Amino acid sequence: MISLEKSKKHSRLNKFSYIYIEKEALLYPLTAEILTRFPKSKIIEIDRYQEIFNRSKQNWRESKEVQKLILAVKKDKFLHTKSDVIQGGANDRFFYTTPILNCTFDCDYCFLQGMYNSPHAVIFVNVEDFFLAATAELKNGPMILSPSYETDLLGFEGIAPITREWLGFAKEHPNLSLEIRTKSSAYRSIDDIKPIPNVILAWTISPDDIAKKYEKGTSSTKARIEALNAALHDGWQVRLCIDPILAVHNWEEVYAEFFKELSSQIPLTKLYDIWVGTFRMNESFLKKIQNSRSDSDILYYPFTKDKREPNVAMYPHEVRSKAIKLAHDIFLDSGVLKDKIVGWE
Amino acid sequence: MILLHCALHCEAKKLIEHYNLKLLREIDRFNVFFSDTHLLVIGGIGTINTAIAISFISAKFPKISHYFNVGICGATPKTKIGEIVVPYKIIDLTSNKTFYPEPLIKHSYIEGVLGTALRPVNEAQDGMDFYDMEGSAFFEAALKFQDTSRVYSVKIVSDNLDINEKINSEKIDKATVDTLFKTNLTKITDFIDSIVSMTDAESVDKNLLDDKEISTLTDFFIDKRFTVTQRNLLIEKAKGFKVRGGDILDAIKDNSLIINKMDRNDLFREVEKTLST
Repeated sequence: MISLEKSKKHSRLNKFSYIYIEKEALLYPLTAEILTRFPKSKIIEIDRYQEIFNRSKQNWRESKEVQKLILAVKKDKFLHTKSDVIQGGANDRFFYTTPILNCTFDCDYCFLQGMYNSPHAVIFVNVEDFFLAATAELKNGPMILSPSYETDLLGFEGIAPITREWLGFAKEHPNLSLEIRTKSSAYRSIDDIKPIPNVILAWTISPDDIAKKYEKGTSSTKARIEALNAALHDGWQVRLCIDPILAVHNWEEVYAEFFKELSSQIPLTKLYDIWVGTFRMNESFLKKIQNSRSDSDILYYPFTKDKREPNVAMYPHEVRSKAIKLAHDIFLDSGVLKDKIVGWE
Repeated sequence: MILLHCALHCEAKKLIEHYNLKLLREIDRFNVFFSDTHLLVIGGIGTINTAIAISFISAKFPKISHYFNVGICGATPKTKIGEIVVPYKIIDLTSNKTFYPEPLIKHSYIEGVLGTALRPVNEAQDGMDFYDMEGSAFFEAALKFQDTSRVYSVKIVSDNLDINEKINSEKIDKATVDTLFKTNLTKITDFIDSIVSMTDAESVDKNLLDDKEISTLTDFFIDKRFTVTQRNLLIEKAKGFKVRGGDILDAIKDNSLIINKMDRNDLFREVEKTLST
């Protein structure tokens, strides 16, 4: 019998060793800029990004390990209206946009695993077309826009400096409220830009043990806190997101300690606001993820559903309420005003 | 089980020796060789033969984890005879269907576009680097049964688009193919074994429940006369319970006697509650 273990002469590919490029995307300056960062990558021309991205029978876990980059030109649907699972006020005109599909990080609880067939990252290089769409929508009134909903845009800044472009756009359009949300410490890549009043920089931060276990590839909790504090110090409006709170073993103690740690390490009263949310996910996405992996206990919690959102898997009401109350109690004790804490059950 | 597919016996011979495969006499439609870990099917030349062979063997052996198409191919003169090539794109030159394997490992073999034709190709076409008569059908059939990251083609260049002349002048014959495989066997098997070891280590048991758990649950469901809906729900709950560290066999130990529907529903709720902890 042949031992399969004996031969490991070829090692695993590095991330982005292969870059698929739509022929049309070759004409854009951002493509050239991205390619300078990957001089050794294999370049493969394709007609449409869907040839790679939408292939059926992709194994998310195996392919994520050797994530590829796809450079494409987005043709339409530049803005999307608010999803049920995104936080936001009831009267706000909330939109999200997708300059990049998928993320360089690998969080166990990420809904993108259930949303797309592929873990490969698609970067749309026609950034100006996104701005044209946003400009047109702004004629209908002020709006809140998130360009980092289906990716960690700042996490990609070292590869494709799109956050910087969006910040420039926001500066010229004061009736746009822009939120850049991240789990990275890449603030240093934009720290030369002066604060823009209509931009919120948001950091999602989790307890260190949880980040190490369930948020693979992200910056450490310490590095994220440092980046947040640097942005705060520079005068940016900063949002702290503790979302999702995960009902791990002893979660109440884990998070109580974490909230106290945050209170001592971040000047919470200077934050624009604090958003707190518990884990929730579109039920069909969760089902798809469960069918592809059994290595993460947090995906197999006995979730419930709420009548208001029958398609969303979430923790039981008791857990959700306790988690939000825990955050409220500790942050209020730290001097944060009540209306600055946004709870999301 | 790892499936190796070759069109001809002369392409398969060295692989059979290397993996110590034995002829499976129960199957007479194709020559199939096997060991505890590998299967090799000799499907014959061409797309139809290939599709039939892959479909047949996949139906016969449903637990195939990886598919490898191994054989000779033609290449434009920029690629030398005897080079190992691994296509990153396969085009069926008849239907224009394309397939993209998922590159997983670092290697020094030549990569490019493989065109699959109905007949031997003598003239280069735009955008093609290599030519064969099986690749696209192999991918189309194998991808019905397995994930993209577990289906690959690895070839040895046997001619520079002068195959007809070579066949006529007997410059390419079984002995030549044998020599090509003898010289390159380690490179081919290293490629195969590396892909397998890399993906096997990460393989996910999508079913989650083992045979004993499934059989115990099934007996329990029959004994307690649970409805199909109740059974399906409990199976889902049991999977989550197991991932969270629970012992399913311990959780469903129950001797309650089910006399009526009410008893059954009470027990269902109780088991559901246990499996939700």
